Amino acid sequence: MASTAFKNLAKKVSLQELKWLRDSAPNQQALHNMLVRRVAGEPLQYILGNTPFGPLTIKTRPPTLIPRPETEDWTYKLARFVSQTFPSKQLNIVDLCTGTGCIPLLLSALLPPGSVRSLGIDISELACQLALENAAEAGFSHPVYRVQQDNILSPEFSKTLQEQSFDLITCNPPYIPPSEYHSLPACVKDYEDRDALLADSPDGLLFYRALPSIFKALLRAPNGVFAVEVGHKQGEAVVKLFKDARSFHSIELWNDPWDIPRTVVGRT
Amino acid sequence: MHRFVQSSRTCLRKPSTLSKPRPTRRWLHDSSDSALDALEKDHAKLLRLVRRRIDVRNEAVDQTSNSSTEISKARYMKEYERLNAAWSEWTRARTSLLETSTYLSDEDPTMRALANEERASLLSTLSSLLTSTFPSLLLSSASSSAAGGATSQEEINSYSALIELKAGVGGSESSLFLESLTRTYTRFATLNLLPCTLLQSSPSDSGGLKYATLEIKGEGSYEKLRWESGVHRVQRVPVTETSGRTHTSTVAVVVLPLKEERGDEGEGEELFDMKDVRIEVMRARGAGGQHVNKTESAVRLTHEPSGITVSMQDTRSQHKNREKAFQVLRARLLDRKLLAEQQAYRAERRQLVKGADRSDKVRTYNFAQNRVTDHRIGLTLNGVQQVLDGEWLWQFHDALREDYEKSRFEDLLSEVGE
Repeated sequence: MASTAFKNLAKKVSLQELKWLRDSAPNQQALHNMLVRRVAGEPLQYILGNTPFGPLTIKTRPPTLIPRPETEDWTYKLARFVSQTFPSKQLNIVDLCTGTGCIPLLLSALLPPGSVRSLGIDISELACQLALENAAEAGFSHPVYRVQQDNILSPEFSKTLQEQSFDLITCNPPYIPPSEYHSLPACVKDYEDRDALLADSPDGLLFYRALPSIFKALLRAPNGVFAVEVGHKQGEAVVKLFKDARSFHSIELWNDPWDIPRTVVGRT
Repeated sequence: MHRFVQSSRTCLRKPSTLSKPRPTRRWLHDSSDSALDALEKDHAKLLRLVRRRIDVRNEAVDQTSNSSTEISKARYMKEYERLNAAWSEWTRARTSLLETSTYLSDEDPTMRALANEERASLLSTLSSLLTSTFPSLLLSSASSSAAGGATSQEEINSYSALIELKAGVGGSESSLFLESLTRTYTRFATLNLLPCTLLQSSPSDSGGLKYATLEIKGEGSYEKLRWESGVHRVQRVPVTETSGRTHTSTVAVVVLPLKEERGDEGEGEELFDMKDVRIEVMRARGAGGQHVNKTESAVRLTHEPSGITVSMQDTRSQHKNREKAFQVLRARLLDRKLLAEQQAYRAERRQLVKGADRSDKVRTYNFAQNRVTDHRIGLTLNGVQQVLDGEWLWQFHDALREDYEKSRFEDLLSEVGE
């Protein structure tokens, strides 16, 4: 029978989380250790080592950013959008700030087999390694998915990809401004990569300001599509950034399942 | 354009009926063979019913201004052909029998012997048509001949099953028994080579499960398991009971029909309009996105017109929970549709087919006396463990099905009247 210490720990997590931990733990001791970590605030996904993302199971490892359900939702929407806009076409995709690689991997799983070629870019070597592991797990290695370690804010960035022209660019850049970063819940702030979250300008739009020119250089025109995730309250401002750049049209702002404007989508 | 022909008997007949020769009532008394007479007398109602069904389908197929859709028309054609083929076999065998009878009193003994053999064989054919072929053809056709929109037995046989179990009275005993029944159905599925998935379950603090939803896929799974719907009652001495008293607890089981999914959630959906479904993802996430890492993935669907709500939270994926929730919604709506059809059917007839109230006690499991009784047909099996192992369930199902078909058949015959 479970000890009192164990029961007290178990009470501190939700029934649902307890069930998931129990399903994953090979024995009682392992379960106990997992509970200790969870109660200390460590993200469930780091403890369990993965998170579901569409039909895929994405490996998660600190400090790489854990895929969010909002991202899963707009990636599904994007897959539908793209198959209506470019039916039966081979798609060349670049995913900036790729992290675990979840976005292009989910797109590869949702779109017709063999129709996707994607490239993931991330500044972190750890993220690049993890993304490659996830690609292998999903059965989408080179050339369906490959990575390149790079800093998209560096002035040289577009030049390193100059040879290529992409049909679709996706990007979920860091978008949390410093003022909000400090008040993030501990399970995010203390465990996930600060560089994946923090956009060091007062409005948090540091990355978005760089994107229009990068997209102009990398996207084919016409008939190129981009989709970027934005933080709450940033939707309108990011839409304006792309509109002002004058190289894009049909710019839309999609809501997430919690009714927050979450994705800016546009075309060349 | 109809051409009416007046016969010497002054009755008007449409060309369609003329082109398909129609025996009049005289055939009932035509026979000069006593065995044939007996057969026809015993199954007079059945024969009249077959004739009537053929006539109805005859007319439905001929009418050009029929409001039936192409699907029901095609179905009519199929049923008509089968029934008509069986009827042709009947008339052929019957005619042959009467011809053969004339040789029964032939001078040549060889001829007599041959005639007797043939007569026996033909009587056997005729008998089999009456006791097996006609009844099965009539029963498998659409339950409501006029409406045309009712679901056929063939369609029902193609459904998969969704089993929802809810703990009833009895506290922890009920939850423990629920867990037990979940295993029973899982084993049953395995025995029948049907893939079985636990869609969701909720553990009870004192052991066992408060509720569970199982999905059992494969043609015929709904048809087999539908008999499990109702309240199951267990009588036993709980493990925790010190004074050896027997407790009674219940579990409510509902078996829902699942049709094969067609693509995305809302595409080509016949059962509901996506606009009528409100999707709620649990708990506002504040800023959401990168700001937050919450693990709840619960989804709740509300189908406004019917008021049906489905909650799903068991998987870690919000998207998967959504998919499963829609699957359950579809199953509940299809179940409603079938119930409505059944009620319409019973309203038209003398109600020999018993209605199934979901809150009726259908089965009692008595551990002390090691027996399980199904109250609908009064069948008792002496082996609680064998039933709970899923091995003996088929015995209940077969008996219930037979009983149901018998009632339906009697209903059909009552259509004909005296």
